Amino acid sequence: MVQPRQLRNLDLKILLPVISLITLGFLAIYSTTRNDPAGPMSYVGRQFFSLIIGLAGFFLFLFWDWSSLKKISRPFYLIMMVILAGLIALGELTGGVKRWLAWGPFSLQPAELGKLAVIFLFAEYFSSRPRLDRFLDLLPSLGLTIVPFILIFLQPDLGTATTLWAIWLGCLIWAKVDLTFIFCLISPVLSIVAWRWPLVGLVYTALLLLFLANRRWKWLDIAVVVGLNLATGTGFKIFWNFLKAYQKRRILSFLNPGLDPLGSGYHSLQSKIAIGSGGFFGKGIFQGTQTTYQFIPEQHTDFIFTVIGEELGFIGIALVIGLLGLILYRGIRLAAEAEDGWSSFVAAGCVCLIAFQMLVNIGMTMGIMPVVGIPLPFLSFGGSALVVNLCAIGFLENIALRRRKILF
Amino acid sequence: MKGKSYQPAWLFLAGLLAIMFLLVSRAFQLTIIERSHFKLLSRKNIVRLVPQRAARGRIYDRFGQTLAYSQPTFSLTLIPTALTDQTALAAFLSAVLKIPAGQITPYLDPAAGPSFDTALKSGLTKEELISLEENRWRFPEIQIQTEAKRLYPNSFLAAHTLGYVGKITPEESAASQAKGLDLFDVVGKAGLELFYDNELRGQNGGQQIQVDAQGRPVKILEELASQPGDEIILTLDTELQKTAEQALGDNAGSVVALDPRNGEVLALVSHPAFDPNIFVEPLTADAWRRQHQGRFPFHNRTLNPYPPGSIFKIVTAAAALEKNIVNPATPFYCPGYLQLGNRKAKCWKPHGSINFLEAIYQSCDVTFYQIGLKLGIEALHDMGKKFGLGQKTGIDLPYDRTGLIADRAWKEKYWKQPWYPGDTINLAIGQGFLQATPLQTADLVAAVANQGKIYRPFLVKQIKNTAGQIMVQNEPRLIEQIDLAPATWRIIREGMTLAVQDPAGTAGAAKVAGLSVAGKTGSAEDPPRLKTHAWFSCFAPVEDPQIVVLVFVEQGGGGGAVAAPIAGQILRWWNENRRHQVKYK
Repeated sequence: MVQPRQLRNLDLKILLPVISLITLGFLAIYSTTRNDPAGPMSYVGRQFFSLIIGLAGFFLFLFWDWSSLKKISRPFYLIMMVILAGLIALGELTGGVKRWLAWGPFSLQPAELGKLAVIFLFAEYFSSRPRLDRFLDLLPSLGLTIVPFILIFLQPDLGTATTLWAIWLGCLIWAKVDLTFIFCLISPVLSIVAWRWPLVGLVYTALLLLFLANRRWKWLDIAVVVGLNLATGTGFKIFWNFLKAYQKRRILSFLNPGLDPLGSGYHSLQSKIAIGSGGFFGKGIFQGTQTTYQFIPEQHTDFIFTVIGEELGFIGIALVIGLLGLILYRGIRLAAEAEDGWSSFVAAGCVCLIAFQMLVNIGMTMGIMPVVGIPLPFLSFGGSALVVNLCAIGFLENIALRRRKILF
Repeated sequence: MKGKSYQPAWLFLAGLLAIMFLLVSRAFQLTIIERSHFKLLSRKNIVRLVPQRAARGRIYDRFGQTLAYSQPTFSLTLIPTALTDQTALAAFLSAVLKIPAGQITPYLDPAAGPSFDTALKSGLTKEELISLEENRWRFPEIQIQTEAKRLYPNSFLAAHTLGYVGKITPEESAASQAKGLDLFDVVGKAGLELFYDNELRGQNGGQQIQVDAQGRPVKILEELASQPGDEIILTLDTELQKTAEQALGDNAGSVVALDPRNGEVLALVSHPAFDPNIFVEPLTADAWRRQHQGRFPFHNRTLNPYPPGSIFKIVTAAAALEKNIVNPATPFYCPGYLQLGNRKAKCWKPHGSINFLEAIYQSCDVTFYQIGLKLGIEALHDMGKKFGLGQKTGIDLPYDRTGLIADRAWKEKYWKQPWYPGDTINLAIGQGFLQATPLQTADLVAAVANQGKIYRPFLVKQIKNTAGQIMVQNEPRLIEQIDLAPATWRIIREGMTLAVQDPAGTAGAAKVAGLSVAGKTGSAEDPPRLKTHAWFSCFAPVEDPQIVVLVFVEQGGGGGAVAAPIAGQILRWWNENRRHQVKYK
């Protein structure tokens, strides 16, 4: 258990930014929902309720002795998989999109909890020092990622599902996996680009082959990687030709929202207008014209950053990015300093989680990322994400508490 | 770990810095460098989203006559802003459109959001259009949108085949959104419009337009050209279709005319019909109800299953000839009924002494009862299946039905009873547990015309995009080759020819001067309906069949009396106007 004097070890450089961001979030939510028919207090109220639960989670993870937490990581993962699968089945039955389980006015997104379960499980897996010498040794952890990925992807929720891959990648790096492996994981995408010109594709494949052989990879592993590259590179061309025009357009405009003036392109254009017109100092709190008149869909959830930009300008943007960056920096340090392998991985996973969400969400509002449903940590309206993120922070502080500071 | 080890924390840190740098510099770009651009857009407000709806593809008949096309219409939508002087705008609109102001104000609610341009009025007249355009400087909320109205110049002609279009219903909307459609788009709801909706629909485009404070377009920010739908060329012959519809008159029923050599459908009639043009404007619930009264005009009778009656004797005859149970001279005796157990199975007329060939063209039920008993149900079932019964025809229309040809297993499964000889004799003359659609029956007779070859019936010859490129070219597809002895075909053909030519034949009303016609009548009982359905199916000329005509009159009475003359009328027209003048191929 925690000794009172260890509370001095609480990392304020994490806590204070979190508190500031959450507060800012409340202001932003209020601002974006004040012309909503349901009234701002409906949203603020619900977010407050989620905050309470989040704080409970925070304290829980803060004081929980993590050796017992470690023990439940496997059952927790399994239970979450069952719930997610059940959600799909439920979705099939009701014939609708099923991302939330709802009781009355409150709803829970199991996918968010699922991310936490994955982090815990990975921590257990990677901290047990599994053999990761050859490329194919990555398969077990890949398998552990794919199952929740598919379950969440089918909900359908592409954004949240993709986050799992970021966590996986982060854990691999944290486990000091050979960086060539990381490159090879990304290589199929390069292959698709290379094979636009068959000659380039061939050269690329040949170079890849030589490179891996030179590093003395086992032949099976080389075959898998080169085969995968060939398959995606050539297969993609064929697959592309089979698509109908409207499907191609959807995919292209998904990747580049500017291409779709009617759908997501409109959305991201409005967001850019709002942010850009904020200028350096912003238009002032509650003065944002675009958000006041509800021009931005989802402006209280996925596009909350837009109102920050419009009302607080570049200053506000830099502030939010800076605060998040600070939290992440401290998180990395704590992960590196953590005395126990398992908690180190959990911390690294939490850092990945928050970083990925930040990158995609903010990038999306500024038109440099595809529009997917990923919330902005601590700021977006949405209970489940807030609770889970607070639990992660609680865990980080837990690690902080146990830092042995030499007190002289 | 293998290879040189690295500190992951440094990698994470580097990644973090890269992310922060990326985001901050992008923010800098938007808020500092491009600020004036965005400030302009936001202050002058607004970016208007104007969808350009794709023009729906035209449908032509085989000779290039237009059967369906799209015409632009204009509709008024409002983009509510907080700057609206609602009372003035409502008053102005009310005066121009002659709508009470109270109905207009809900459209001006800013909470509705700019993504939903709810159309206040579609189909603006020229005067309304001018008034609205002239006053757009006053009211930037006014938006004129171009839509396409689908028109069918021939009104009731081939209504079921062409189908109709309508706005997307809430049930369809989820699937439609995936295709990039919204609530104002129009999709096919029935017939070819439905079956080929993806090709006809084209691709909506749109513009993001920057407008000034007066709502006048200043600049087009993004533009996506709409792509018109593909054009469809049918196998239908409009004049033949007209003739067939006139010949059928006000009888409820169906006419099918096709080319047996390749399966091209030349005419496809179902009556009573409807006018697809009525769906272009929204219907009131009352008008909708009225459309559906009476004799079910929306049923496509060409694809409805009915008992085929004596036309099925072709199948029975084929089975019997193949099994060598009969030859044309085999004698039979018909006293007007057959005693089966304690039941008298009736024939429509006591034929007396009659041989098999005569039994065909005089359509003697008793003969076929006896043949049916000898063959047994399984043989009849198998031969029926070979002729395409109990299976979809594969025509390119929605709701193609399989019909029914039963056997022992079927009756046990669905009726939980054994098969009785009484069921066999019923089936042998085309009644009982047997159902065929007029289209299937036409195919059956086409098989006889073709000595066993059945081609898939199809309506669409070619699909072209507006640049003239051929997207789809439908070639005739052989779906069945019924291998029977040439003698079998010859005998059946002879029976059918005599049915028309011989004075004792049942189909004399289909005789056409100068054209050799072979046909088979049918009068099918369909309890609890009181009158029999009248069927007649034929092909011509007999030596080299170029056309198959099937006439079906629901509860019309006798096949020979009611259906055959209709076919005769059609064939007469075809003989005079098509046989030598026009090469269908």
